[in-house]
Amino acid sequence: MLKGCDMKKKTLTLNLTEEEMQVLESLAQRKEVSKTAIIRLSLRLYQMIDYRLGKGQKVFVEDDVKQEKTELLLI
Amino acid sequence: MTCAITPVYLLNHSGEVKEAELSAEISIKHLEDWHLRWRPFMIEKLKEIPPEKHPQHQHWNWLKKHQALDGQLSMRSYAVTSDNETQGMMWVRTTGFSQIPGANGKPIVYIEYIESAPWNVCTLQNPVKYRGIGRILLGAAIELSQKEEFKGRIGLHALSQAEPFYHGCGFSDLGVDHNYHNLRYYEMTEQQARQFLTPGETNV
Amino acid sequence: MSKLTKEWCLAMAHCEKGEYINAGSFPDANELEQKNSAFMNLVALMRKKLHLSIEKFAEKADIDIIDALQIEGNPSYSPSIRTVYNISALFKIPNKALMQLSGIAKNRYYDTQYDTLPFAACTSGNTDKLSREELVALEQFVAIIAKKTM
Repeated sequence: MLKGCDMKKKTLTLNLTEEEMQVLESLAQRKEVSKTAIIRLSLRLYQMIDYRLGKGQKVFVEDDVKQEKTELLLI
Repeated sequence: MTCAITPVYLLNHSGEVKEAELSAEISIKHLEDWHLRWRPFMIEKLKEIPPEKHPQHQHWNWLKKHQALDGQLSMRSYAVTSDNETQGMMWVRTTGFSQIPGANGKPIVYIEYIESAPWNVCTLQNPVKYRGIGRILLGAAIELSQKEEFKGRIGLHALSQAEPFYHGCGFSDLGVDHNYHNLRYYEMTEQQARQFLTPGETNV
Repeated sequence: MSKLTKEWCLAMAHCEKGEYINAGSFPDANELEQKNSAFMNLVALMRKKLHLSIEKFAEKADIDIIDALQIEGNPSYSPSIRTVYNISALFKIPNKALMQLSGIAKNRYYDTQYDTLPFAACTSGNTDKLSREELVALEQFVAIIAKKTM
């Protein structure tokens, strides 16, 4: 399998509430990936949003059907 | 940080096999080649061909893309080199969502940018210098998708000049995306990706 | 084990005919816009004048090679103060002039003659000699900006 950059993996133990764990498990099941994959994807998305906000940009969510655009507020 | 180099193979204009390398990161050398070889070559060729045949991506700036995308966890880059010269480059995002109806927005690797060196494009140079770069880069994207547990699923918006290439690779054509520059959106399902990497095998 | 074997690669290469493969957004026409054209062109021309490759230029100016590439190839790139300072020292051009040209300092003395500097950022080759016209234009330009910032 092609490898990406030669990065050593580190282990993290997560403490989640029952609700958070349920969401994590549900997402993993629906997306057909492991819980670890969901956590990694979440981190990447958070970094992306943080990067945009850090540049003074805004992030919007758009509803095509209702033709509505709402700003994603991260406070 | 060292990055993986995978030996790959191209065909030159005489049909001879040429050894090449697939790097799992666009490096300074690749950006240098874009700046000092790709761009000047392209600019010279643009003078020879009529405007309607000019590449739609002629204004792409890989340095600018690198500046914007490098360092983000979700982004990965690849380059193909042969004869110590960059032949192709690609940026992918690992936070894409499938647009295939009923796919539940499953995660995909989304190809943000992909380009072959201008001397490998028959409109700009005929015969082309090398063939095979595009499919090698797609193969890299599929293997990354498999590694990420996305089962090989990939997606992209093709510039219209590139639509025949993606039709030929076995992608599903999901139609023109009016939310994205009216570019045609393509995806490879798990089965299509498996077929792409193992052609001729009976895939269950 | 990667599936991109020799057999696979060659089978795929036979399928390709040199078509366009580009995927991605339609670029802004200004992705290559010369926003800092005078600064970019000056650096490129001075580098050529001194017969320096990009690597040698980066080494002599004591800047990162990626900075050197970005200066000449990325119109929206903003060099750091240290980078511009080092380049001005290498090229023996007044630091204040380069700070203004690069956009770091406000350019209160902008002269339309800055636009007469020949476009150099995309010439082929690495250390080609400057043409006579390029050399004259460059020397006149350097004289103008040096005078303006005295």
